[in-house]
Amino acid sequence: MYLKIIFNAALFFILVVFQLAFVSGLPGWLPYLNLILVTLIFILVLSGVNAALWWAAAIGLFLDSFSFLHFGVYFASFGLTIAAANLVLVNFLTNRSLYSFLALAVFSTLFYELFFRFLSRLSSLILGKENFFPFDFNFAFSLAKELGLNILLVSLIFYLLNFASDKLKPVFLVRK
Amino acid sequence: MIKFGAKRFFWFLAALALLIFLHFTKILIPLESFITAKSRPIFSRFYSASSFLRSGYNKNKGDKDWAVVADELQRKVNDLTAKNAGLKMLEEENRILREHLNFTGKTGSTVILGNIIFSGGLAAGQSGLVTIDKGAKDGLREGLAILSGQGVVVGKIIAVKENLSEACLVNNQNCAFAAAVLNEDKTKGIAEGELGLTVKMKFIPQTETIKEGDFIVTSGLEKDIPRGLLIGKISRVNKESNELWQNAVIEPMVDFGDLMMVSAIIP
Repeated sequence: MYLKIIFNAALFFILVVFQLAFVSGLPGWLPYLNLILVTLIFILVLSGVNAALWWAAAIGLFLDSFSFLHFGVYFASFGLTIAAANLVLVNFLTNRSLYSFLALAVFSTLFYELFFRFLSRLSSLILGKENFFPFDFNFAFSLAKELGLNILLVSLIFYLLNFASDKLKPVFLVRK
Repeated sequence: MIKFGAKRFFWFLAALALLIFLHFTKILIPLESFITAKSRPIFSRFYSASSFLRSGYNKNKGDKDWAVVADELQRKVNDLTAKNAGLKMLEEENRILREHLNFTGKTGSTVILGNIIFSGGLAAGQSGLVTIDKGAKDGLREGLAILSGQGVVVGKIIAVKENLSEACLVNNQNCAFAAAVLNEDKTKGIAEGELGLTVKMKFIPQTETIKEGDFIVTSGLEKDIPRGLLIGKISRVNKESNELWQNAVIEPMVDFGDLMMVSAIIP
């Protein structure tokens, strides 16, 4: 039990450091990649909503420690994105096909970005600070780049997982 | 019937409310400080590795005619050597004047060196923001200018925590500086970023004469930013007779992508 918690904590720490310090400094379009969101989507589909929520909470708490926005903005953004993605997954997406993953990635990215913007705007109003995250052309363009990269990464991970395990392969019932 | 599983999300929201409460009652602050203090060096190393990759990529990206570049640089070196000789005389003269006037001068300011541990954040369109591994504990505060290794202004501190601070870069559209042109009139205006790509100097009266190649420096009108710090060079002047103000596009003197360390000046 404790070993599992420590293992998960180490994993999410590496993921957050990799995303914030490494991916954010890469050249070209690569900094727009949201590795954390993509990981959470795979955890949600493969391990269930409880595991995804724990990861979202831990990552949110960690990011909020570094963030200069109102405390809880990342925690709430990731948590509610997982809640919304789970709603879509359980009620509208019934299989584990590539298209389901892609639909989930698009939905989660849009939900996360819009909700995060809304909360950061609210945070600026509450703290009486200048809002550094406006809804403008720059945001729309960045969002389009992030969507494209997240879709690419989801496709890549899906095929890698499909190649490595049978968990995502379709199952057919054969009458004997 | 749409399934939601409201119970577990209720617990999640309750945990969020509890954490916010603990944060604002400062019970959680030691844990947050511990997390940031202990992970700063790891962040710094990852960011250095990533910057190294980015620098290599940027250097190899453009196909340049290096002979032309070398000639151009040689010409600039000659020009600057000539200017430097003149400036050295002025520096000496200035030093004597300062001694007479009992000024503390530039050395009177405290300089705090910090590493950039990550740029942007985890949301689209957060370019032009960097997080530095020095904070209020080290004497930083909001409004201080941050400089590159060459002494060029690259941004301004906008938020401070105990161990960290956040700065906007001059190309960020929400980052503005009180600036002045190094011309005869010392024309004043506001330098601010545009779409995270370029810097513009705005609110320059139509009557003022500015030209391409003029240097832009801080004007000293901001409380915590000393005057005379270099911001960039004018690359284009936009002057329309039907406009109230003219503006100028500023070419920054440093590549913001290459920044790994910055220094903050405390006047």
